[in-house]
Amino acid sequence: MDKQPRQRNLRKRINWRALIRIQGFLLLVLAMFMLIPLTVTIIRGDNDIMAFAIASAASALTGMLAMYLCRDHRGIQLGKREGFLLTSSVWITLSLFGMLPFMIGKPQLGITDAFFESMSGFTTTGASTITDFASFSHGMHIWRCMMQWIGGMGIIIFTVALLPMLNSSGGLQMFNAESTGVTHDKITPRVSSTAKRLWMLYITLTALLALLLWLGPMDMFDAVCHAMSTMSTGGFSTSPEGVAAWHSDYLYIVVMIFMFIGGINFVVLYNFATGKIRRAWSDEVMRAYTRTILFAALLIMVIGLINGVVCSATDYVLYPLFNTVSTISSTGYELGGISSWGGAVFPIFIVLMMVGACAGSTTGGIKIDRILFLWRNCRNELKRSVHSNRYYPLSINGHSGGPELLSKVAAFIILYILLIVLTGIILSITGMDTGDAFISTIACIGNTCSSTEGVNNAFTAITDGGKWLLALIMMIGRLEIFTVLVLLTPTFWRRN
Amino acid sequence: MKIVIVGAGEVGQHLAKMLSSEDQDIILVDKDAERLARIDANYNLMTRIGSPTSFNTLRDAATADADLFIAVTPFEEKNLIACQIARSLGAKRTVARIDNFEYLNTKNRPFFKERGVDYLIYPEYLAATEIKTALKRTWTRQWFEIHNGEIILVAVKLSDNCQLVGNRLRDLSPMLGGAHVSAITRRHSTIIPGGNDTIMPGDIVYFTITPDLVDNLRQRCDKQDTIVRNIMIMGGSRIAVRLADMLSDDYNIKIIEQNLDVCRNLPDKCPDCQIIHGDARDNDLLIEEGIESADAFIALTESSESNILACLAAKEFGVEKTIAQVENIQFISEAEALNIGTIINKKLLASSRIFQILLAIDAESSKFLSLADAEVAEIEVKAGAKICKALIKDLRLPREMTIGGLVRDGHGMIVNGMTRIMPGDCVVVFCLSGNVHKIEKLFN
Repeated sequence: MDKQPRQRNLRKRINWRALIRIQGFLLLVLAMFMLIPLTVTIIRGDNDIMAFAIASAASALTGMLAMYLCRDHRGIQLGKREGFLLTSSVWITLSLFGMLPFMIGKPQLGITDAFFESMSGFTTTGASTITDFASFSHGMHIWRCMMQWIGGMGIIIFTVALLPMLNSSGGLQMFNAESTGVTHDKITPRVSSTAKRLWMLYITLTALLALLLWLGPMDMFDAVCHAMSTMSTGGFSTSPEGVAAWHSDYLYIVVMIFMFIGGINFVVLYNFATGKIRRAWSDEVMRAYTRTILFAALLIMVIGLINGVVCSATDYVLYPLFNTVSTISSTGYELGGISSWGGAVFPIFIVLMMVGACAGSTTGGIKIDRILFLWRNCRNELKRSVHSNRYYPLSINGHSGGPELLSKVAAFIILYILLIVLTGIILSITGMDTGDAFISTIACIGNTCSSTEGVNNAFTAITDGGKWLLALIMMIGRLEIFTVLVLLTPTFWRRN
Repeated sequence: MKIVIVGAGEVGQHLAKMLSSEDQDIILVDKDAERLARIDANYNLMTRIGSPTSFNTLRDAATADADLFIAVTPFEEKNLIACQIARSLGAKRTVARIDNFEYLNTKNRPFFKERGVDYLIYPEYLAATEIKTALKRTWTRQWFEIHNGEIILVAVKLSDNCQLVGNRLRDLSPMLGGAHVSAITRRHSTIIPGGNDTIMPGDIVYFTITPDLVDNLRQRCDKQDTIVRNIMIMGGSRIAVRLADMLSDDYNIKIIEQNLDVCRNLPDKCPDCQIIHGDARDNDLLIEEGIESADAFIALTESSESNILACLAAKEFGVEKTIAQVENIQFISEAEALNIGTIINKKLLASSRIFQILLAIDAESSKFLSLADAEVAEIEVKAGAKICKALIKDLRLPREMTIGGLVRDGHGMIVNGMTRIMPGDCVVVFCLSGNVHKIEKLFN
């Protein structure tokens, strides 16, 4: 008779060898990605060739060494704990290697600034301590945008698609730890083919955007850079003024549409792409996302009208809409000095930054899904206070979430706010202006920072300790809090 | 291969987990969202919430592309309808779990074929067949015949006083007359032994033998081949009825059932058996009904714990062969460590059967038996395969595998170091779980 394999649920020690081996493989992937800016510098004849050559070689060698040293791993039986640990540590390792070009190359940043820049890139935050990047080489520009592009969909998801040994429940744990959202939809039964399809979709959309931008006023190089940082809703730009430097309504509209797309759950986008239009269209989260954008844009428009802002009719529609989409999708491009439209505009943006777009997208923030879920719960409670006997279902997209989901969402939001308060206070203690401290914390945890000069002056003024703290906050925000914070609990490290 | 499994009960879950670790594309459908959520988060497969008999749900679960559709909800009507819907949507093969023995009748098969149900699984019948085999060879834990019995795979649990215990394998060959020691299960894990390994008391040893070695092996293992005449069955469940139907010509059967209503119905279903109303956990009752003269005690109640304990009690009374139905999968290895002869689990039997169906479709893999954490595969050697290059002992084969026997021109042979494998041979390979793919390379 066939017998059940005896389950080894007696938790053993963490499978370090397998962890290091996978890290090694991820470094090889990173080194491969670094070859692209290297090629660009060589073609353009810039003087940053060494920066990328050294960085790429260093990543590749370390990666191979790690893989060689840990070749005798005990199989890839990765559990939940390995998933969390690996995902968090991979993001740190990648940022450490991703910062090398900034230290060796032209800006020649110190380790603090370089790490901050690198983490800001991978987490698609878009905060930068660099003020004069007009002097950057092409390679450096494309590397910054590429970091955002890799981090947007997630390098682990990329690796899961490539590495057959992660096509297992271990890979699934990593996939779940890296991708955003409360629940994780699958589009195919195997995690690797899900990851493959998501990346294919991502690459296709990016290519399409690059083409559209290139057809507009941008040259090929800028188009590719902006396509990568827009699709990942990151917000790095090749110009200190961001996309505003091109003064083209066509460009603004294209960028806006793709920022909007970047904020939609990729599973929904996949349904659109595969012709399940009706199902995709009826996604309640996407609808709430759209409604929020329209409402916020309308509000800003009204504020502008009341304060008598002078600009053309198209700008009256375009500017609020563009800035709203840019903020809610955590991109951070800024257009038309929108903050000067009235004192009430900035608070709206703060709220949008915290809300964020749909789960399962490349964006940061709390995510509309969670807000929608809590909102419906509140609405039910209000109704119930009148009709105490009626039953009101609590569901999103027809899937009802019980009290467990509710408590999970509530815990997330409480932790989110606690982190903001704590970080804001610490930054204030280090001598930062209290308002700036809280705003930059909210922007960093929501991965929303703008790359334009005005905002970034705030970051150049932060102390080194503050930068490390904010870099950590960006990572916590990108990996949706639990993945990182769970590592700080004693329960995680206890063996039973 | 794309496989849709409907019904995330214990059979469905077990199958889904097993097949997803075999690199198959699994979609598991069930009504219960909570049950699915746990599997979805921890296994490499996809789940869909919905009724098993809903067109929309099944369409959503990509049944149209499914190579195999498996319906294993607790209700046979739903399973049959689900299979019919699946076939109409385009599933290539369908399997339904049923509760009615009548349906298995070959006369009725065309009826189901026409309606899109390709295979029927009746776990109670499988369990009864398994028990029947166990009663014939009371001294073995497992008995598996390959190629019409040319090669036999036997598992035996060795006790302290057995003459094989304490010897190294290299010294055992003359005693065993050439039988191949292929695997040993020791304290919940399976090892592939080498010549220097020693047999310990309590080991379950898997031998690969040819039919002429059976008697010698039994004597060497210090086992008696009892001929079973009197059987006592605890619990008048469906398996018991099926078993009584199969066996009542050859054996004297007593069925002890606690529930009076069940007792009233039993005589109609199994006319040749004696029905006893009472609790089989009561020793006085057992003695009164002649437990001491029973050759086999089979515990088939709902409660796994009662079954295990009743079998242990029966052992105390000197019953030669005990068989317990253990439905909690977690208890199986514990029950094996105790002295219970054979463990029956309907879910595992059903999933093994489905596995076999799967293999029949997927001709590439040829695994035919899963042990605790090892697999036994029957592999046909292709021309020019690496394995044919030299004698077995010179090949430096991986440690996770061993070749037990082979069938050449229809005759079974035991493999040892001096054997040379030829193309066209059918070899029986033991390997530890997760290594099958490594090993397949050797034979192609």
